[in-house]
Amino acid sequence: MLPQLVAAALGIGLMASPAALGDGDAASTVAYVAGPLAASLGFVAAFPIGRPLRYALYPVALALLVLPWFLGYEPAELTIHLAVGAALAILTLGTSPAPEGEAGGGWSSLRD
Amino acid sequence: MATDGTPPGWDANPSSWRQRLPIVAVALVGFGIATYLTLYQLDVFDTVWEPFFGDGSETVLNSGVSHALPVPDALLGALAYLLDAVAGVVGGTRRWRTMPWIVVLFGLAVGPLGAVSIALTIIQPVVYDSFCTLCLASAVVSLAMIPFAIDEVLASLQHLKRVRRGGGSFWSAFWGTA
Repeated sequence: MLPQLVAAALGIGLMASPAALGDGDAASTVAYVAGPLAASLGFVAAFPIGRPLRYALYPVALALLVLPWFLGYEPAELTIHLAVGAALAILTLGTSPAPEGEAGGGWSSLRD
Repeated sequence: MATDGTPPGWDANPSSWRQRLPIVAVALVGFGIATYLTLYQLDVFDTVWEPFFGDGSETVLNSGVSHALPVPDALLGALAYLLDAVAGVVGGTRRWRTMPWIVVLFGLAVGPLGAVSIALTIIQPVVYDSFCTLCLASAVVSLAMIPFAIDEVLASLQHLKRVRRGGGSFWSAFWGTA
């Protein structure tokens, strides 16, 4: 639960970063899109029933790690976006699936 | 199934009042926020409460996106929250099995509402370079309901699968007439 809540907090921080750092247009737009996505996905994935949604954090992390190299960020923007992207990837990788026995086998029980 | 209505293999009953009433309370908070924003958009109030973002709320609430439909977007939000609250109180503590249709309706009302709220949260700064405090509060409210609503949906879907696997009628089980 903690890794996903940290991911959600990073998303909120990313959302606030353009106002704090005076980001350019490209970095601001990426922060305003990726921030709410990371915050909401992280929050829902923090609950065992929503844990499968943690995989949706990967594309968000990937976007934060890749887009700065194409959009011409300032050094501060580059640092923040890469750091948040790397943190999201690590937090998601380090998360184990929820114990599905508590919910009748979880969502995977519907695939059987 | 346990005598208290807990689904097979579950630790707790997702249809219990202890689980559902907080969702209903949160939905009513969302309904209150959305109703207030609707009244502003319908010009019942001249100003809207905005403690953090200057004229951000006015910019967002009077934007083209907010008025893209024949009715203000906040009105749709208020109706969705009301649907959440009503769908949250209908049925007893075994409704995941006796009324799957209302559980699925509840899930459909909560899930997409959260997705739309996230989309609107993204649109505010990207398109209008503004934030709206109460719109953000509404997004938080709609997001907060999701984890507490979808486990009941999972219990109903598992029940429907068990019925179908046992040779029973899916639709009879879905409408609770089996």
